[in-house]
Amino acid sequence: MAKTPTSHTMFSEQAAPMAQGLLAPPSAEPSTFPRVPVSGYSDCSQPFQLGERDDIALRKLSELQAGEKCCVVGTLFKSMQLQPSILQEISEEHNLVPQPPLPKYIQPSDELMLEDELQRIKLEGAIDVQRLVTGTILAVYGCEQDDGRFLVEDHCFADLPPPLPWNGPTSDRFVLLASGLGLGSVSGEALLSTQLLVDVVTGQLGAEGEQSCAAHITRVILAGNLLSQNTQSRDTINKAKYLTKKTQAASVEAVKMLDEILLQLCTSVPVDVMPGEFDPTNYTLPQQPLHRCMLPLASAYATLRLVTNPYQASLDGVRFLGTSGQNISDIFKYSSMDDYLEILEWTLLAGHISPTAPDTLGCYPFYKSDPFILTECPHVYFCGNAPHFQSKLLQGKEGQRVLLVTVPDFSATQTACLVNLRDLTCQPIAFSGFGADSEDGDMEVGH
Amino acid sequence: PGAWFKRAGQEEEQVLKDLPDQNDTAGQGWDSSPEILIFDTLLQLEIPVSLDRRRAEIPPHTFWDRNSVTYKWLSYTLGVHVNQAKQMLYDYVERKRKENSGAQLHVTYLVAGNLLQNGHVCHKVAVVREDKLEAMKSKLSTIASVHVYSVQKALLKDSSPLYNTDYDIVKTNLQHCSKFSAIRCAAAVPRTPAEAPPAPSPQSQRDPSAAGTLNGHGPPAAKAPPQQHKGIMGMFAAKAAAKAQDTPKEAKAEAKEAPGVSAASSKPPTKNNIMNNFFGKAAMNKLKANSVPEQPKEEKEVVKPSVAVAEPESSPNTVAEKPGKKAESARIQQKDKNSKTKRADRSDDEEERDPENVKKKRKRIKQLQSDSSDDEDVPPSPTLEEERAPSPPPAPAPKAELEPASTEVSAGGRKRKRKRVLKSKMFIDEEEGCMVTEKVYESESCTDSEDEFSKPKAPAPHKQPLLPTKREPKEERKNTKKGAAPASRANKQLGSVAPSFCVALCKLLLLVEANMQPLVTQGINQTREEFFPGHLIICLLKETDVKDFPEELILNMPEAWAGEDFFHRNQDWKLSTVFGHLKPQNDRNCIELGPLECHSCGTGTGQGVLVLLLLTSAVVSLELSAPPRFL
Repeated sequence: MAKTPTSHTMFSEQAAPMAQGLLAPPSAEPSTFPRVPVSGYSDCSQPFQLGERDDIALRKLSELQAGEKCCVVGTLFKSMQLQPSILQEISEEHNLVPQPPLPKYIQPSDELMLEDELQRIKLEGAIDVQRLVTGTILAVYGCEQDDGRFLVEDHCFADLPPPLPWNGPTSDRFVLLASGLGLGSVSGEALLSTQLLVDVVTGQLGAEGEQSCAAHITRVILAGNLLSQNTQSRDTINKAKYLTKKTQAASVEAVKMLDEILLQLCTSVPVDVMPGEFDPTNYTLPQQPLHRCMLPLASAYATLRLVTNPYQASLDGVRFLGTSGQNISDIFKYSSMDDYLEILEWTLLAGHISPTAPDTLGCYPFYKSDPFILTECPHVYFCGNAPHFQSKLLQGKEGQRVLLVTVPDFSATQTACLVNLRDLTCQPIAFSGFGADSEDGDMEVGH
Repeated sequence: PGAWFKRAGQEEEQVLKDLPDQNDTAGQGWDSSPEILIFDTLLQLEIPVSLDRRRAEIPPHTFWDRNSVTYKWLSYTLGVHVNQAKQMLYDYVERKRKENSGAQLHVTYLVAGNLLQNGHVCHKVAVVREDKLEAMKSKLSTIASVHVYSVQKALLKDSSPLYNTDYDIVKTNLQHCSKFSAIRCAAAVPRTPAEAPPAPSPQSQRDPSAAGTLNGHGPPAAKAPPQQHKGIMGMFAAKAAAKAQDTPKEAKAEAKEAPGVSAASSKPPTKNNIMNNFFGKAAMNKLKANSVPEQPKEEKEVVKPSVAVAEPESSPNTVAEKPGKKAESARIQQKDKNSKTKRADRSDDEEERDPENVKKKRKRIKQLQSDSSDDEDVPPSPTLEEERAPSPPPAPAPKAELEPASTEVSAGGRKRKRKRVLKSKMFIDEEEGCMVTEKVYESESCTDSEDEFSKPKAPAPHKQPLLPTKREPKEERKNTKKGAAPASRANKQLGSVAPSFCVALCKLLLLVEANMQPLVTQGINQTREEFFPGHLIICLLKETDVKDFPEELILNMPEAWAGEDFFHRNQDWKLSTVFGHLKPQNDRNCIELGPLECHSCGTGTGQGVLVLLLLTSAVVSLELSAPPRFL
């Protein structure tokens, strides 16, 4: 009955012994054979599948015909009434009363338009006008209506870029991310915390166990705003020259202090210093590294790396990509998204680090290629100077694993974060002294 | 997430426990070391610890500052490992309290561990007062470290004095700040001169100089430590005698090590410093007087070379721009001069104009006016005079550029000849409140050669007296509308002189230049300081304006300049090319500009600097730093 193991493996040869079995009178018990169970199966023909595609035409805007369902790829432009505009100010002579600073510039009457190489069309329908921002590249599906608007039925973004191979370390290695040291601020309350941060990293603070752990911090990345906004006094512009003649820029002292702090760090750990919005380098993205002449003490050490913003590096096989936060905070102003982590994730899905540049965010005029387009999926994607710490491990369809981190503003939160390169986990590390109202401080810790 | 101090937890409070154990094994403890005595004395004598500029920023009630001793301060001061310093402090407090003499000692602790905060397991590192220590410990789910952070005589109200206490000692030991820490980083070594990028020649220069200053302290300091130890021993012999019979090996090793480390080591000086502390303020002040002047000197040395190096780097443009450079600098000079007068004018003007300012639109009217007759005495309207005030300063340079045979006015010239000069005039149209800009050819007297003299008389196509135009704004407006044809014709004429892009550009400059000042004053004053050679450009041209421009310009502009990415995304601007971009800054708008490359004429970056912002029909600003080559 059952197959007898033989040296013959061919199908017919196995069957041969029983070939004559049925040339006999009916047997009392007809035999049945159990089907060999399926041991392993996976369909790998996905690439060949064409999917449900009922002839979606991909059209340019100039080829649109009213009523025809089609798909259009283009760049968004969001027309916003509240968007600060120097043109408006000048043409309407409103500039005498500057527009009030607003946390967000969105309002219900905003409109979305899709642009391609030749023209643009207003969008309506299933698309969240408030959420999207100018500069986003997306594909919309729908049809042009008689009134010349495009009725969107669905839309999609570029989605996560293709993954990079994972070569991360097998043991615990940490990278410390901090941003917004805010040196030179008037209050200076974060100074002790900053010093504690330095002391932990350099192995001064803590018991021996903690120090041995701190030795596993392989790198410190300072994500911008090393100096406080207060160092950017606009006095020199607004005041008469003779009034500001002998005053020293507030940033001078702050940079000296930065130099000292960096020196302390550099004697113990490699440090990457990214410039941020308030730091003394160019304003436009990508911001170029701080000049090392500003940091005569620290730049003597090979461990100090003055880098650009945005910054991308491979540390122990883990690809880091991040900015000092201007891209996210700018989107925050022009979108209904309130959560920095959400915006950070959204930029990753939209395939562009900073879609709002150069519309509302300063940007160098690249005209051949756009370096902000994400072509490889980083393992750690962070933004600096966020209001508070958040992190999330994002899993992509193609096996991408991205740790999203919003690095909090250190001067406001006294919090930095530690990324474990082994398993892409992230943990905040908070510092505090005690104040006259230490109870309050402790309460703050609790909530 | 807890991995951060998995191991740390196991060794919790080890630092605290270690010491008493050692203490029990008689004789080997810290209690007998002279360092402790030094420390003791420090506390008792209230020796000023931090006396420098930072003191000025500290409010008086933190005067206790001088009495607080942190582990770090102790570590640097005595040259011991940070963990030893922590243990010493702990031991000190324990001993004092046992003796009941430590009642007035206040201790702050450092606590670190896991804390649940906002839904995250946060590694908390906190400095707490002794009375809050247990509360803090109870909040932490895992405790990674507890150790004494500082000891002081007074109860600290807040922790900022602790930072200030450390600041000075850290600052004086900056170059060796990780010497006593628990982590060594092999990679953290100063760059060798060869390694360093070309510029750090200042650095390599500085290093010896820094070493030199240290060396200045060096010889005496190098000798000092052993002596000092003796000195201390001597000083405190009476006190120490009882306990310090067995002179601690560590201290001895320390003393021997110190001179051997290196001449550049800053430890000797610090020791010196502290030792001086013992001998009173006078000695210390002397020391201060020595060290204070040295610092600025060192800084100066640092600054000087760096500037020298930075300069060639920062001005590559000037090299590339040689042809234009001279004129440019001349122009800049001129501008500087002008800016002074302008500033004064401007403020005056603004006040005068204020009512008109409220609602004012600009219109540009281009006309050719050529008068061969004596037009000089045409009485200019008062508004014209007023408006012209700001405009003349920028005018001269381009004017000279456009008219090859520039007008030279000789003081004692016999022949008074007339020369046609293109001028921009701007005035306010009273009726509409518009700002109107007019291009006119005016004749000026000059003493040019005969053949050139014939020139001005020939072209006088549109003879239109200046006066009536001004007085009859309506007619003027009519002219603007239908005026496109003659104006563009005129421009074409000009354009045909040398049909190159640069020429057209310069003409454009000339056309709009007079309009620049007022708007700059009002709108983007801030950004003016950001305009400099090699950087720049904003061009927003509205379709209607483009009609008025020379043809080659219209043709060239979009292809030549428009990067696809940088079309301004505003529907209203039909032909728009943005080279900088608009950015909101401080929630106001201003313009930041990027570098310019002029592709069509192939002259590369920095050939000319031009800001051109055309609104409805007004020109916002414009700047040309180099004269055009083709003229």
